[in-house]
Amino acid sequence: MECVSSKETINEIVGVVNDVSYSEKKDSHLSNDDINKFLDDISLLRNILDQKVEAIDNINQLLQKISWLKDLDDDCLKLLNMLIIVGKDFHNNLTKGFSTLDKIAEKGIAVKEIFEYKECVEDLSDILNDLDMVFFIFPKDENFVKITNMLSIL
Amino acid sequence: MDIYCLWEFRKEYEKLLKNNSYSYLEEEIIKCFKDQQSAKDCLFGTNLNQSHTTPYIKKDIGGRGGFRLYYIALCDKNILCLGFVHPKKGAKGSDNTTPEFRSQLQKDIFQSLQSNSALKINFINNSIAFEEPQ
Repeated sequence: MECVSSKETINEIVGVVNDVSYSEKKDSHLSNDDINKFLDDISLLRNILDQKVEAIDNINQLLQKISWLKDLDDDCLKLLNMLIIVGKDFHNNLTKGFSTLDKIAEKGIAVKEIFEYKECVEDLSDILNDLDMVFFIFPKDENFVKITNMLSIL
Repeated sequence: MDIYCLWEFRKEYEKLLKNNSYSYLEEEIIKCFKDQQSAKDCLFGTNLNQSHTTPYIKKDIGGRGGFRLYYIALCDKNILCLGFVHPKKGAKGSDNTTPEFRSQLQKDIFQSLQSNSALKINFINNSIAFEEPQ
């Protein structure tokens, strides 16, 4: 009797394994196509981030150059004020995706690209604040202007 | 070109160098200035005081997530004076400095140069040596 019972148990398990194996064969959730698509998506995300980093780095360099311009009149300052406002709006839009990117990076995906992207977006914010200081805050700071003038008599 | 720095700069620099994460700071400073022939070759980054003869400069060094360096270039005298450096990331990383801090730093650099109390920086065998004023 015991032998028959064991045989039935084994048969039941074989049946279960067969069913799972069959459904896995028939309808796998991790087919090669799915895995390839997932890898393609990661690669696409990396490329998109690289392209964004390149574009933002370029903007950052252009903004830094503004700090070296000479003899800016009122019209230039008005334009510059507008540029800072537009730039800050641009920065705010860029940071909206940060929490999603953080979650992706936490899973170990595109970590380097996400780090670089976030860094250059932070740099953008810093440079815009720098321009604000250079053209609108420091010129009103009497001590700052005085020391700047005194540097030339050293 | 002569390069000087504030005593505070040296203190901060030496503190950072003790931290393994920031030990490449020395190499980055050397890389930034060693091959420059004159102060006029060091006019990069952001010009904070709009001067073209004595610019007060903020420059990022060490690549992404590296360091921020603040210095003044006296172009006619062919002198640089480094005022402050801080890492952007890590345990000692910090955000952009405030207008008040920058204004005070410019004053500190000016006073240090005026009183000849700044330390001289020499690049010897790919390392930085500080020389105290006579």
